[in-house]
Amino acid sequence: MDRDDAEGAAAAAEYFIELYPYVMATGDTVEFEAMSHEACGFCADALAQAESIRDNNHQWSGGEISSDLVKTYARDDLTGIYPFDIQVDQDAATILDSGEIVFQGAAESHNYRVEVGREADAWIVVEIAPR
Amino acid sequence: MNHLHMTSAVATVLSIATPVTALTVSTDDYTQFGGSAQGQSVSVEAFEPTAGQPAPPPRSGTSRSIEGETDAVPSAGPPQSSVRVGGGNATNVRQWRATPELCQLSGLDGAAPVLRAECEGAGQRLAHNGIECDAGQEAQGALFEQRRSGDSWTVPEVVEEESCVDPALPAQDQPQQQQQRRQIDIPAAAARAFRNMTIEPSTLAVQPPDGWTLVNLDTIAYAEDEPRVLDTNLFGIPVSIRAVPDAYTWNWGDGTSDTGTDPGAPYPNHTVAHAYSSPGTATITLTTTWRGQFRLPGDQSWRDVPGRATTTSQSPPIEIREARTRLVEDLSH
Repeated sequence: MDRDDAEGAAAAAEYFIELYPYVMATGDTVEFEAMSHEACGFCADALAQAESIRDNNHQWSGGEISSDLVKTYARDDLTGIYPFDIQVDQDAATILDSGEIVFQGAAESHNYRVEVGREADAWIVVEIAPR
Repeated sequence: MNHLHMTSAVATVLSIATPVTALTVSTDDYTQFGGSAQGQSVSVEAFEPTAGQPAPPPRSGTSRSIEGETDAVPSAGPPQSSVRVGGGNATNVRQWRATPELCQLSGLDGAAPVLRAECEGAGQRLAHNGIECDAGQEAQGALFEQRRSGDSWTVPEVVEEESCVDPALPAQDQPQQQQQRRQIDIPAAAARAFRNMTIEPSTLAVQPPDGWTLVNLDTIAYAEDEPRVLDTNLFGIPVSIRAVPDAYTWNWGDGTSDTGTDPGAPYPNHTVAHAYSSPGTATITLTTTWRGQFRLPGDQSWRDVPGRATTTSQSPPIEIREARTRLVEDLSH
């Protein structure tokens, strides 16, 4: 992730993705937000949910994620974005409100296009979209 | 939500528009990872690197700066024959506009200078102010086109100027001509042509001409002050663009410099000169600031375009010698 090339971008993308359940469970959005580009719709949605869980004293459990880099594309020379295909496997997650289930997910496994850019010497996620 | 719109030959670069702002989420909206990704769309079209395809050679042209920003001068794109046709998932032509969404990405490291310039420049001014469009119309930034060349894209070229679009007419599937009333802004196009113009730096001459000079005596410098003219074609209209020298900064290479509008002249009519105070070696650097003008066919006078460009020229190294007076023994006695 310290590298400023495609490998560094891919490492940053996987780190960001695997941060997802931590952010949901703790409400600690600082690092996730710092790595979210202003144009990232996925990031905005995820941040809003993490804040809602935290602010309503709901509890996220499960939903652990593992990710695998499937494909690295050429860097886009118009925007400087590194596009990747990343396989994301997530365990089923549960969200509780005072012990009562308000959300029950299922294990999911999908391939996503992840776009990573670099801004002020740091990696930043520009978008995560379904393939 | 935008979608990546492409035909078999032309890809349009679009960008997502969802800002990171506080959204309200109710428990009904709770999702896992895939739910947050649902409905999002990618910003750029991705290409697999092609093995064995050498990158195109670096663009030639004089390096210059425009309004303080260093930029490589785009030259004409590579010949048509070097454009890869067909093959894999490759799209060979892509088109983009500096939309507010795409401009959100112009701050990324490695974003193309042309995208940054366009986002800071005319396209965005027009898009944001809308002052040049009729009421009820929407401004639309210039349309750029790039072609594939190996693993990268050619220098973006404007294929359609900024225009005003009537939003009442259906978009997308209608032919361009029916979709919009084109209002070609020639001054804006001329300003862009000036920005992209390759300007040959001023020719710099120094006297004495032999690569050496003397301490405390005038070393003369002068430049030719001919405008550089580019005859081009903007959307079917022949237009002449020219760069006119506006100011000269003479950096004498010893820590001193002079700036003025005078290009100087050769001895004995010289007006620009410098006396070095100590021996050594110096290189004179001339920075010429150029302003832009354009003229349409039949026009008597040139019209100014905004912006300035600079070029630099250098003399060969000059040896600064000291002339000493010597007492010579008179051997005639």
